[in-house]
Amino acid sequence: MKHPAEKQSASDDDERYEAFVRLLVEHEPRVRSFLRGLLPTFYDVEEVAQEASLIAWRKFDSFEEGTAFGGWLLTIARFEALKYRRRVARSPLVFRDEVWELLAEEASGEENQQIRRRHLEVCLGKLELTKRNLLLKVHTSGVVIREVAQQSGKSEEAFYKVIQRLRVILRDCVLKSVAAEKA
Amino acid sequence: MKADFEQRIAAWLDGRISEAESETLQQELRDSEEARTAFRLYAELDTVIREVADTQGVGTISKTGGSSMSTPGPAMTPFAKAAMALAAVIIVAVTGTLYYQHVNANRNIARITGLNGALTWIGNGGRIVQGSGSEQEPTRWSNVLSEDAELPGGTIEGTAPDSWFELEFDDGSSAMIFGESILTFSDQGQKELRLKQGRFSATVVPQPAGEPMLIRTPVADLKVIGTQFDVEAGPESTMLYVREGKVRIRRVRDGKTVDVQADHRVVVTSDSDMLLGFVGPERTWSQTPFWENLSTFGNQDSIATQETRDFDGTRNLLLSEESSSLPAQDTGHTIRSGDLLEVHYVWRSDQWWNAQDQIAIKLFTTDNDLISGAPTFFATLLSRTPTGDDTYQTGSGRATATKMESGKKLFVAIDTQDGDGELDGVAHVDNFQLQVTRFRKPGLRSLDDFQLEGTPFPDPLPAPTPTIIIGGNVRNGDFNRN
Repeated sequence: MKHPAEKQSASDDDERYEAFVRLLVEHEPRVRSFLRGLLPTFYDVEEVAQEASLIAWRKFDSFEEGTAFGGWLLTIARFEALKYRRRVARSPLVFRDEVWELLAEEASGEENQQIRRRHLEVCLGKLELTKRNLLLKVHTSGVVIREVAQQSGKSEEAFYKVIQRLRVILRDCVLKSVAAEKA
Repeated sequence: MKADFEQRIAAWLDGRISEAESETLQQELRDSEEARTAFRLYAELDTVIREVADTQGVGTISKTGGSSMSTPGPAMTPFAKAAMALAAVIIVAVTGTLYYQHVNANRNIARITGLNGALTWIGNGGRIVQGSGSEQEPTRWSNVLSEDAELPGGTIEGTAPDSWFELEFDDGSSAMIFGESILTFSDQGQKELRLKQGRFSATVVPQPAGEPMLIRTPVADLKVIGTQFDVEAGPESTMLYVREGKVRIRRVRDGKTVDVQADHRVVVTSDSDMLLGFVGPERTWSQTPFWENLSTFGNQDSIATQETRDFDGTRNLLLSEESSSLPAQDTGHTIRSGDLLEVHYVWRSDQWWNAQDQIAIKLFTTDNDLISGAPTFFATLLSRTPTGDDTYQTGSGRATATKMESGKKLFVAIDTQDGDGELDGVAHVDNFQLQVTRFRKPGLRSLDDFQLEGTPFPDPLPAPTPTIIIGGNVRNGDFNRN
């Protein structure tokens, strides 16, 4: 049987954990978008996002309630991304220091992301079903875009152009929707 | 122009950009804020599509993770739900199975069957437990890192070169990490492990149909049905060696997949050709020319050399601290006073090799000039301590023979110098070379020099040159060639 003090401690732990999870769920998507603009693959993004989440949890005691968890998490992620970047620096996909810094700095100060994400969801829903499914398919974890291209019967180049056209449609839709909301 | 720029962004996002295109893209990003804004938007777009795609594909997993999770509020959009579910998946499957462990604190999936050295376990609710020798926090998990303790999954990290940790899953499959390695393990019906760095060995019993053990490393993913294999993972490469059965390995970056059969290995880097290499079987002392196991406790049928953990793709000596192993050789060289004896080799530590353990090359003579005679060790040449990063390092030493050894046969043994009181470490030695340089005193007649009576000795004498007596093609006995 557990000692009452131990029960209380376990209960505090549970509450603390739930608070952390709630904040993480709320802010983690922004961190992933931030990282995607800096790191070459989703694998890299996931690696750094995981590490940042773990570090945030370990340091959660030092996080001051009421302050901006999102900014705090983003700072951790930025630092972890920089560390990670040193490990993969030889890849041609990794940006040079100056470009990296510019992108990281500007992305950290980004404020309209929540609005854009909301519109992105709507715009994605507006896409014709087959196009939407194709776009989702090539973005699913573990799917190799080149293999999907080969299966499609199109040349790789033509296939990439199709995907890019869909991205442009989505981008235009989002920009238009955001502008309309602000107007 | 704009279309070209967007094509370059797309190529970067898809991981197919060329170096030249990457240079152009970076130039554009550096020079234009507008370009950076456009780039960020595409990156964001990519992330959101990916999240939605993954959420649709992993609905069952997110249900597991999210079933007992507190949700922020009732008015959630489908996207918010998707994002939340995905975040739960990340927490469950990726960040050391934090959340899963929290809500499934009592479901143990593996048992510790052995451990050593400094270890950190990050388990339930993110609790961090230091183990094995270091003082532990007085928490309800403080005794978690001990033999026979059961674990619900989590992340185990070896924090010293001599750290190791072995666990056994409920189905009898076992896994082990060595040295400074980080392994996250979970079993939610399907075993999923993430070797972030370091070395990992496993023996996997046949897994349920359609649910192979998954092992993820920074550059490759492995699917294991049931087999024995070793993995070494670093940030830029993964080496897989399969001892039994078959393992499928897939490069993360481009999806290239190969099946690795028993006795084969493959090295995966971002640009390796992923060709399979045959790994020859281990050889015993009786199969190894020139060398023998001189230990009184050992026998000539124990393992002498192997091809894994290689330095240069060839066989290497498997050296153990245990008293049952003492590689030695009759060099065939008769010592003369003043002989300079030099050894050169490469070596690396392996499992259970302590940070203070060293290689000890011993030069000796015997009372009857036979290797089985009573030895007299006249020089012990110690290596440096291990680097601890699982790479080969050089070792060397030199000694000068004296009158005491003169006229006797030279024998050499490759031994170990224990640094931690535990004789269980393993190391690998390759490209062993022993050379002798004979120095003559000026003016002293030598049987080696045929001089015509009355002809003066050359002055000065030619510089002495070393003669290799072990190494290369001379008495190497498999240590530096197959």
